[in-house]
Amino acid sequence: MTKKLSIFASIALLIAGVVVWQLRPDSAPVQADPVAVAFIPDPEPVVFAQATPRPWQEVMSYPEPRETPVISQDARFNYRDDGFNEMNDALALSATLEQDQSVQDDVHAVEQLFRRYHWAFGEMPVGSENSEFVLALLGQNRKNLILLPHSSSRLSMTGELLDRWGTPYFFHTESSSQLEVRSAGPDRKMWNDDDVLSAGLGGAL
Amino acid sequence: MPTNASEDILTSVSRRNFLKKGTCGLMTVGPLVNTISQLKLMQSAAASTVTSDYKAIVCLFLRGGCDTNNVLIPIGSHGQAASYQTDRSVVQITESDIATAGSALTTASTSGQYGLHPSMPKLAGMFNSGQVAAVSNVGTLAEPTTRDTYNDARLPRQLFSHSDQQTQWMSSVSDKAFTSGWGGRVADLVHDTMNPDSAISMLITAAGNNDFMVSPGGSVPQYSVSSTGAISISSFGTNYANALEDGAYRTNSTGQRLKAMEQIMAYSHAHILEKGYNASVRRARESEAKVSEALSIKAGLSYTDEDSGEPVGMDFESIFEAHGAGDSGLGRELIAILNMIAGRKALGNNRQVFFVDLGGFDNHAALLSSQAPLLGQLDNCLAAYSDCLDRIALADATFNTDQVTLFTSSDFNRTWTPNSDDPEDAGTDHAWGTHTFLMGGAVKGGQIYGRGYPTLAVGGPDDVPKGTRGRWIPTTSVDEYSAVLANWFGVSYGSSEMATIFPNLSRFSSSTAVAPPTELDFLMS
Repeated sequence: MTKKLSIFASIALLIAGVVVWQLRPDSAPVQADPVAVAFIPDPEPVVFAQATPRPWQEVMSYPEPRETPVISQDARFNYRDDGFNEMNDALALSATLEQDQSVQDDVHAVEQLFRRYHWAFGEMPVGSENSEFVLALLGQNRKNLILLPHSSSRLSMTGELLDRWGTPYFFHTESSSQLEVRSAGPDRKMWNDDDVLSAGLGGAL
Repeated sequence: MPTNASEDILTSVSRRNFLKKGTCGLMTVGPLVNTISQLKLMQSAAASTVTSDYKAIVCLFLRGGCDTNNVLIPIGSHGQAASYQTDRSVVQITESDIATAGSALTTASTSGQYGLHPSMPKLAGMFNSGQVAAVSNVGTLAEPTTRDTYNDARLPRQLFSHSDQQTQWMSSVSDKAFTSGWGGRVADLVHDTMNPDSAISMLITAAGNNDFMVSPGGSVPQYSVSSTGAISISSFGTNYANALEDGAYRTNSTGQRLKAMEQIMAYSHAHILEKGYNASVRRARESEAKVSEALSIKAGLSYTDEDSGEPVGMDFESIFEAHGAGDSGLGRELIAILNMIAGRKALGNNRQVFFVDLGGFDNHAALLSSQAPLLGQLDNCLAAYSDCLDRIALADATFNTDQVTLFTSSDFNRTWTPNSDDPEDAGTDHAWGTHTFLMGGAVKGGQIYGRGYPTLAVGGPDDVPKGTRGRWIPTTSVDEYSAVLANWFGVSYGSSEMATIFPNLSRFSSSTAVAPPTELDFLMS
């Protein structure tokens, strides 16, 4: 009898335990320890003059003096007295457009200008027309950064960047970090097989 | 030998007695534990607001930036019909083509008469019969913007860029970096309360992973389906049909690989990533079973044809084929979601979000010849989709076509003027405000909603001030457009949920608004 009582007492205890377990309040989800992230310091910031952006025509003709002198020794930039800042290697790339080189090299150079713009601003210029992108390269941007000189012979009277045959390039914005440069090629007609694209691509879209 | 009580107990319990009594005890404990668990579930279910009606929204994304200037066209008496013909020049659609195709809209808006692209006579027919509505000049906006305020306004990030604008249409947050899509945020907030019996994700895509369905923190995962059902895990071989037979593993190598893989997936792991991976794979296998069940339910649906008296099944493929969309990628995607709608009872969701897409609209070249077949495909697919929904409603008394609303979106509209004067080569480039369509029984069709058709003029009041090609500044934001859909889905205007899903909505309307603005009242409640 004692043995039976003991067994039933054990089972009753087991049931009571299970009931208590089931009716316990839901515990809060376990918070994982925060993952330690290796600290990678940002590259040394480049300080640009913060003058008010101006329309392109005004920039070309009447540059305004910089109000606050910029103190920097960054050799990658030329800090002009008129408030604009030149990115030296971008200007060197722009200069290649004046030289006798292949159209592929031209397209590559233009693409690299946009790459440098992306490096400086973290995004590509906003626009869908050639002249909008050109204005950004000419310095109408929030850092007054010039990547293409307004004296470039590749600029049309309406402010478009022209290819070797005098046709405006087409700039195709895929995303904030990707922009495709297209030259219409020798037939001067866009969207056919002799088009020359950045990244070595060619042919119709 | 003297013994104490405990020894007595131990020695007196034979193995046979222990098994006999222990089994009896366990038989008592098992049901009790189960009952308690079920009571807990019932308690939690009763605590939430449960809905039993079914509603689904279908996002149809036209990738590449569809030129809707050539989709919703002013004709006849419309005050801008002449501007259309002049400015669109070599990429214009002629009124005679619209008349020949029968794609004119009979319901004239206050601004005049419109026609759809000649490749879309079926959509025009559905518009005219009240099944379809349009919304004019919708687009990404960070705040209300006009030509006058453009230079100072907070603008969407990276206007005119494909990737960014697609993302912003899907997220409905145009001035911040992407974190989640509005479909995903809706699911995050309503899935638990509205889908208490859910057996599968509320977010089902037939077009692969997409930003629209990214939920905060991945709380509600996207689930991909194809027109043939679930997309199998392929690491063990080609597909489950080769690995399983009547629910059992085949003895071939494919079956044994699947068996091995599932056994591996049953292991428990200490590492959080391993656990997460295992959970995903297991969930995929469970969802696959539910999708198969949904397909079985769909296969069992039929109605009696009035003329022949014969039973008619849910042969969606034949319907799409009859509409000329048998080999369409969009058609296959729509069939995939139609299958899920027909078999929805297996999925257990009262609210479901679907995603399909159609690409190829980035027509920088040869707009006329490139766009027509795409719009034709879209037209055939939407007509077939509508017919299929009607059939489901005939076969299933618990379903009505007003339970599913399809809406279109695209990266952006395209420039008003073409980029060439050669009619064969001319295309159009990236622009902004576009026109959209809605379809479904709940749509107050036959109307063009929005805040007016844009003024079709380069340099006009709706044109972006910087530019020479015509890019319409949207007069309705994606936030406002999407909020109407979310409201129909069950997210109330003025609620904290609505503010969470559309954080910028209050910039366009009063935070105390309890209903859609009259210009966007395109859905029945």
